[in-house]
Amino acid sequence: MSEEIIPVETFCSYYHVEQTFVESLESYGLISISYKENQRFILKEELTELEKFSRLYYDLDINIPGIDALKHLLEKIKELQQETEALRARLRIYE
Amino acid sequence: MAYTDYYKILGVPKTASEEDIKKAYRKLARKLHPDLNPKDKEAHKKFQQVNEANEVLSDPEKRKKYDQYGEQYGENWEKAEEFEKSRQSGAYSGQRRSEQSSNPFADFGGGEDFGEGQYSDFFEQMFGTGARGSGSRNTKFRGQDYQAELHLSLRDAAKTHSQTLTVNEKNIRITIPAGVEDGQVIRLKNHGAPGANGGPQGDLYITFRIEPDPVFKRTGNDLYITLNLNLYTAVLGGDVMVDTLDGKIKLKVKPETQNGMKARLKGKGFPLYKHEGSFGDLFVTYNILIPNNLTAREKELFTELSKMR
Repeated sequence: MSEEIIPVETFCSYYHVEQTFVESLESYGLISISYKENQRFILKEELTELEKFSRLYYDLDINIPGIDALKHLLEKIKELQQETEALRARLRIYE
Repeated sequence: MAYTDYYKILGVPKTASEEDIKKAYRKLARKLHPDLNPKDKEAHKKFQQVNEANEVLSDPEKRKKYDQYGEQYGENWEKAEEFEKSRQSGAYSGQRRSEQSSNPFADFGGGEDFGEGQYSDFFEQMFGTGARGSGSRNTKFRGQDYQAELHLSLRDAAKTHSQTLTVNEKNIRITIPAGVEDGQVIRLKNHGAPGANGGPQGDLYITFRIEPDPVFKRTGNDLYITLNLNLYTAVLGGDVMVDTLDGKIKLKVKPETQNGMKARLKGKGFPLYKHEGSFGDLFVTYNILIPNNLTAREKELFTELSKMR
């Protein structure tokens, strides 16, 4: 088995979260689950996002549709921050 | 010894019920949580304060102590009871108390360090103590990512070099490849905050800030420089010395060079990030200087020249 994937069950038992939570995230398209020989896996590169979603869901009581909306907004903020950085860097040339 | 008004931080009155405190905390945590405020140091700081406030006010025992001693003992309120007991048992004479009145803890177990750090780890509440306290879950969470800025001069950014950073009293030696850009971010895995409940450590994100250079302007991998040129070289052509990142080089100026014209020196610009041996270009903009304080003879010659056109 590749080291880049983690069984959903392993993730859930390690982080003490319900499997239905992970399934809900998948149904909203917030994460992707891979299937191999009837087993479900999480991609390692999605782990950070999944941890973040767990914090939002369990610690801040934000439901899945709320997490979905937040994800889009956070991506937008990130893009805007990068654009601001790039514009600032270009402005310095003319200062 | 400053008094921190936890009620004010949570925006609740001193008579607030446990439910009111919980509600106020949830609301503020949703607004200020680091996951929802990336790169916002102010929000992170406020989130820490909100967690401290909640840690104290949501615990009936701590809240009682805080209400009783908070205003009098400031940040040392937690140890106030112990202090009061020691004082009553005669550990402190009246004279000493009056001398120490501005800081009753000066001789009481550690001076200004006393009582610090009790509620400063704001992640403990969200990902550690809080979960344990609620008794509902014991979630393992990855530690928070740290953000840091590293300022480099343009010339330092042009060469691969190592630097030692101190993050949370830990020295981290990093190699910075030549060609890093302003605003570029690198991630150092597992150099963030420790995980909670056995979770993995967070990462450290370093944003590079490249300081402007007095000589060179940088756009992408190209460098720009302005070169003052005397009128005679501009008109007749000749050789001039021009600054590059590697030192001065000779540049041939074409006859009849106009003011503002640019010369391109291929491969004399900024190194390409992680492409060893590849460089951008250096653009030299000519700034032609008109001679001043002309002598009578020079004026005569210029007049003669002007009549020839």
